[in-house]
Amino acid sequence: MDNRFETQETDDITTAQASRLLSSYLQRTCVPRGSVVSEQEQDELREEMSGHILALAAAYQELGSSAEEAMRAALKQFGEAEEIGRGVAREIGKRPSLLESPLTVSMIGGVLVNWVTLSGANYLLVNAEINVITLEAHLVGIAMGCISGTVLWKRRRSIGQAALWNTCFYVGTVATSIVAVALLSGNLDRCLSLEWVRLAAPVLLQWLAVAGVAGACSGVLTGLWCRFTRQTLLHESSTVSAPN
Amino acid sequence: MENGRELIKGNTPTLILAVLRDAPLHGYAIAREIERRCNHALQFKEGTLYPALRALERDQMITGLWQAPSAGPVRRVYTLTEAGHKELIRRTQTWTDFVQSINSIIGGQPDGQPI
Repeated sequence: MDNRFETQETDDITTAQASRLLSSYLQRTCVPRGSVVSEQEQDELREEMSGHILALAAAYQELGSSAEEAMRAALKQFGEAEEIGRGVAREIGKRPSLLESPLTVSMIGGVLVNWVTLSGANYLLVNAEINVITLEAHLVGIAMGCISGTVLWKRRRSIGQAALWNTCFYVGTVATSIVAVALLSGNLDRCLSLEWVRLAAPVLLQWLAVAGVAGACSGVLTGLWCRFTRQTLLHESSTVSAPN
Repeated sequence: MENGRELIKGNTPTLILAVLRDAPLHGYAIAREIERRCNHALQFKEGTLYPALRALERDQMITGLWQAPSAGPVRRVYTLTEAGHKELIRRTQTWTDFVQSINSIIGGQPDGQPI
């Protein structure tokens, strides 16, 4: 009697593991970056593929494999998930339009943040008038946005991670920009004096905080934009249940 | 035929069209029918069928319809269209010509007979 219960329990565990394997596999068949396939089409494909894999697994189970072993064999026979994703992207994927591109959003965010940051740094360090529109500021902003967007694109971060990344990235860039402006303006000696640090530190911290908030906002904006346009960059894995 | 994987990859649409010529089938059945016809000689990753199926459907060579059988999961069953039939004839001719040319080169004979 006890043995029967133990066998039943083991079967349940391997079935659950098989189910997890399938679910994880299907998630990995999502279309790679740089291509747009509608959520509906992806879900349909996954459902279709899941039926196929379950049938293969059932055949392996009939030959005596456990549920987990059968699923592993079925997935091996089915092929590499990422390769299938690439195939889907190649055959039915579309290139994202300019407006759908997270790079566009990041670039806009980069321009705005740098516009504020460099103007602030300029005011603080050179003690000049606030010069809000400088070509350099925009160029640095575009470059910063491109780098940030590319990293997000490559790493497929979630919205929260995108916000964190942009915050760190923007704050880091702001700090670097301030030092660069100080160096370029020939005010480094002045900037290193204790008196100046005492006066400027609170303002600098404020600017860094502004950059942090702007970075977080830009990260969230990028993520939401990608989700809105159904991009796969920040595609949060939707649970696909295997058909009964 | 492990080394023939690239060849199969490039000809997956032809294989699909060929097995659908006789009857409408779903993805799993298409894989089994290919396996049966070649007597398990062709080893290919079955997942590669799906991008090919979608591409053929987009090009209107086949049509796919979801069907719910009395038992088991819902399945998408594919049927060859008239355009698909013509495409199969074209692909078959291309493949035959290709094989003949390769055989001619390998065999060194213009009649295409292998060594």
